[in-house]
Amino acid sequence: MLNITFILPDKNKITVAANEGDSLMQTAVDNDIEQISGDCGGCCSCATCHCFIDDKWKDKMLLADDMETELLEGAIDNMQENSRLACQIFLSKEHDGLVVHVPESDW
Amino acid sequence: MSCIIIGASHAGVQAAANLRRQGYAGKVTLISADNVLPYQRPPLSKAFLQNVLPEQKLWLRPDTFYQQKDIDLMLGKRVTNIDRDQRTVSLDDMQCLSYDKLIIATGASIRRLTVPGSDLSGVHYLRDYQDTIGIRDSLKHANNVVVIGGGYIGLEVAASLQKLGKNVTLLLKHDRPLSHITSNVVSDYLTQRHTTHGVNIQLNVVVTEIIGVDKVLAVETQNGQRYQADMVIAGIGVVPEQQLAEQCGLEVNNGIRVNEYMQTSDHNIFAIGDCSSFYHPVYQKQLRIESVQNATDQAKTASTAICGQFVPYSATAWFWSDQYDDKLQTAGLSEGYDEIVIRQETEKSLAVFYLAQNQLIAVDTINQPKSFMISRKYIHNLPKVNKIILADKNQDLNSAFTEIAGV
Repeated sequence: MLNITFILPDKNKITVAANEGDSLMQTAVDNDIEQISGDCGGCCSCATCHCFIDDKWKDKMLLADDMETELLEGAIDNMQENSRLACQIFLSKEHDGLVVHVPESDW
Repeated sequence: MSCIIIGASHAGVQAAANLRRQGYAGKVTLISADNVLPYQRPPLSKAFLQNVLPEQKLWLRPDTFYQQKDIDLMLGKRVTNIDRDQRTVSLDDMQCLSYDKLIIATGASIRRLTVPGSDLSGVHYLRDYQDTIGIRDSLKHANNVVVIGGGYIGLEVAASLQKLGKNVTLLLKHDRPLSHITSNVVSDYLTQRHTTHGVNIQLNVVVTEIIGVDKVLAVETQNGQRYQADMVIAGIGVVPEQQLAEQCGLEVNNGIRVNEYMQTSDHNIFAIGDCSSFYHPVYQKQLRIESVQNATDQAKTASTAICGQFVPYSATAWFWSDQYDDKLQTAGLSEGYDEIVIRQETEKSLAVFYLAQNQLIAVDTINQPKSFMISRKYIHNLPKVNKIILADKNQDLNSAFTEIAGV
């Protein structure tokens, strides 16, 4: 199991156990992180799982593909360099301890 | 205090989760006719059918979720009756449960073929988990598959089976796929893509008989053609599952009638998702929408109302479909459009905007997710738009909504 910490909009921190191979979106939904709803189930269609990857972890992330980037650019007004769709991040051992900032839902 | 939710698909599960999120302190009972954990439906015709999505990723929530949230999940049970006077529901195992608030999230059931031969072995439908498991099983011994129906299910199933290397024939009653919900432009694109991938797509054909002895052998159409079939999968629409509501005297008319808070004609009973018929204040008409978005958003409206906050439902409708490597996304409802504007970026990337009296009412995008997202942000109030910018791929689409002078 991996430890993943979500920092919510009110700055509360929630640390949860995640399965290797699960997406970050699935981990959030399974743990009822309200702002990440993942409406499309993770097929990169809805952008309801927007989050910010903590700067310290950016080197451990694979780059977003064109589909994800386009969705983010279209959907998110406060998009930042570390904006990602949680459904496109699949967790592996090297993500143990990952810190994710969760914005208020854009939808 | 207790809330019973009948149906544990996207709407029912979201309602249960939301009740707890909002601090509902009473008992929450979620009743499912399925024998497996509540699951996502969209993958049933796509990744799960193709056997590339492991089962545990199909579940909407892990089994521990329901315990943690104190949601009493009852699997494999059917509600047989609602008694509004006593405020109870009866189950098929003779149990009788009391409620203060009841949410009906029974969804829709498939429309079945009625032509001769429809009851032959090898004729399948796709609505629930067991259907997909059954199809996957039968596919092991099938090479020629005839898919009937040109809606989302027919198209997605055809694409999935083609990916699995099957010989697929797709029979459509109408002159184009998705004929009721999209324009010629999108239909033609889809027809061409299915043809390119090797699906034998036949338009304007009416199935008259399923031929076989015990087991299906072929499908015959009105023009006398026969299409060889080891199996048949029909995706010919659904009807709202409203029988329980009808039996207990709730108002129904192509769905269970609800107000803007998802309350039925009995205010202690709510109906959400595919089975609800509601008035949409933006589109100003009575609607029944079959989609994940509608299911989850209506669940939130109902559960919020049960927790004492009444916020009218007016969410923007949106849909998606994945076929081959094409991503189709829709925001809004295009019915009643009088003009279309096309924004084409490449041969495989286009957006079709639907306008009614110069207001944007819907958009379909194919492999143009950014346009989908931008439109979805703005479309809620059916805005006036700058059509020149809409059509110009070199201009920022956002400005089509903000620079409307001269329209």
